Amino acid sequence: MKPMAHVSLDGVSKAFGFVPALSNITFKAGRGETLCFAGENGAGKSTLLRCICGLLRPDTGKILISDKDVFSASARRTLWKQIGVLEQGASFFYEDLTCAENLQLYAKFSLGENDEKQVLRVLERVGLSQSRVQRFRELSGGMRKRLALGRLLLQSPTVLVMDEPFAHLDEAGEEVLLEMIEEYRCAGVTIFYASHRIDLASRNADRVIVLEHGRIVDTAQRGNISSDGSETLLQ
Amino acid sequence: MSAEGRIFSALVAKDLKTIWRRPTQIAATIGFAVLSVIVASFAFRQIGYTQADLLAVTPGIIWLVFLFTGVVALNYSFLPEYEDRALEGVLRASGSPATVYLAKWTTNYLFIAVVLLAVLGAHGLFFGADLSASLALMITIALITAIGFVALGTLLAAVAVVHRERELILPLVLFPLLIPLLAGAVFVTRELLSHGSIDLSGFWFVLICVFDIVSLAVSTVLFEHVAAS
Repeated sequence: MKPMAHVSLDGVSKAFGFVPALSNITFKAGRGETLCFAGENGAGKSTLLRCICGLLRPDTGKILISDKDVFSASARRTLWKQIGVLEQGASFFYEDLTCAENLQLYAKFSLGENDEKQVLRVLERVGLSQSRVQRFRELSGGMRKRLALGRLLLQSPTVLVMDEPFAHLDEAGEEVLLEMIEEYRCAGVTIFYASHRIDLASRNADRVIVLEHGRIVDTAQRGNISSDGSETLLQ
Repeated sequence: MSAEGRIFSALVAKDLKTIWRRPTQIAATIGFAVLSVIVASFAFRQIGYTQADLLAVTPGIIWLVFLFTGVVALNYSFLPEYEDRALEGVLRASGSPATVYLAKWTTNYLFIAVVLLAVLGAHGLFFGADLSASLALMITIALITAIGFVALGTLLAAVAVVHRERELILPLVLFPLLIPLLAGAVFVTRELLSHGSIDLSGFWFVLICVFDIVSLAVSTVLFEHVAAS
């Protein structure tokens, strides 16, 4: 029996001016499923992820999470809280606040009481406990990415959307992220991410969807993903 | 404390920290207010206006300086939200745009109140018109007027901040909408300075109060749509 779809996209298209970015994207993902989007630069990976998490409204088509339209007014209040987002160009933090203060702010949204201890634990886990009083504007790209991972750890998402999550991370950071993905998957979180790192995708993705010029040109199931990232992605 | 209350207090604390850690922003805004009053004093006081003349132009001067300085402050207020797209993250994670708006309104109101006191203080020091007899009422009127100003200004600053020409866009959109409030403030201030008291049931004072209530309510509702777009 097929698992029930947690996230479904039906005929999603998006164009920027006259340039099509996504054309008729349709697929479904179940709870606990991890999907990796692969493709060259400009293939539409980031646009697709931004549509899934509600940051970008498609021109046509529907995106449903738990049968709710991602762009409905009620979704903005309830559903968006459940979507963890890791973007490439932004971490959604305040530049003048320290690492700990930024995470404490997000902890207040989701945890309530005892948030300080939880924040310290998260900082420890992402390897930023030494930098907890450093302001966000002083952090390197990799440290910013780690702090963003910390933000995701404080949320309890049911859907996780990550654009190039391995970029800027060193080996230790990659390991933290891979562990997180595994934990979230076990907890039934549906995970989408875009990556050029097919070697890492082969370790944790249930499906790799290959995009080209905004269209799905191939899909590979777990076990059929080549780990060398070569053209023999689909065997 | 309720979830909304917890989010509100966390956001207000965050905004106050952010403002405090940008001292140049505080200094620049208050400096602009003081300089504007000094320029106005050169335009009127130094050319031989009498005390009566100065009192007659005082309402216009105070509210014009406040309007321009207030716009500078509002423009600054959303910059930290725009850098690294922090507002987007906060809106998504809190799930409560109305609370995010009201928290921003609160910190903007507190900052604008400080600006207003700076305008009145600079006016007392440099303009020469004696307001001491009606200062308490003057401050009260200013604080009541600021409610509507900050309500509309906070909403429109959120719209303007994403544009490169934000410094121009905000006053262009905000000033026409503020005309009833500004007219009310000028008339009530003139009434206060000439009679030493104000009529609480008079048209202009009621207009200010209605404007405050409507603009705060409408902006709280509209912020969700502004944020979504």
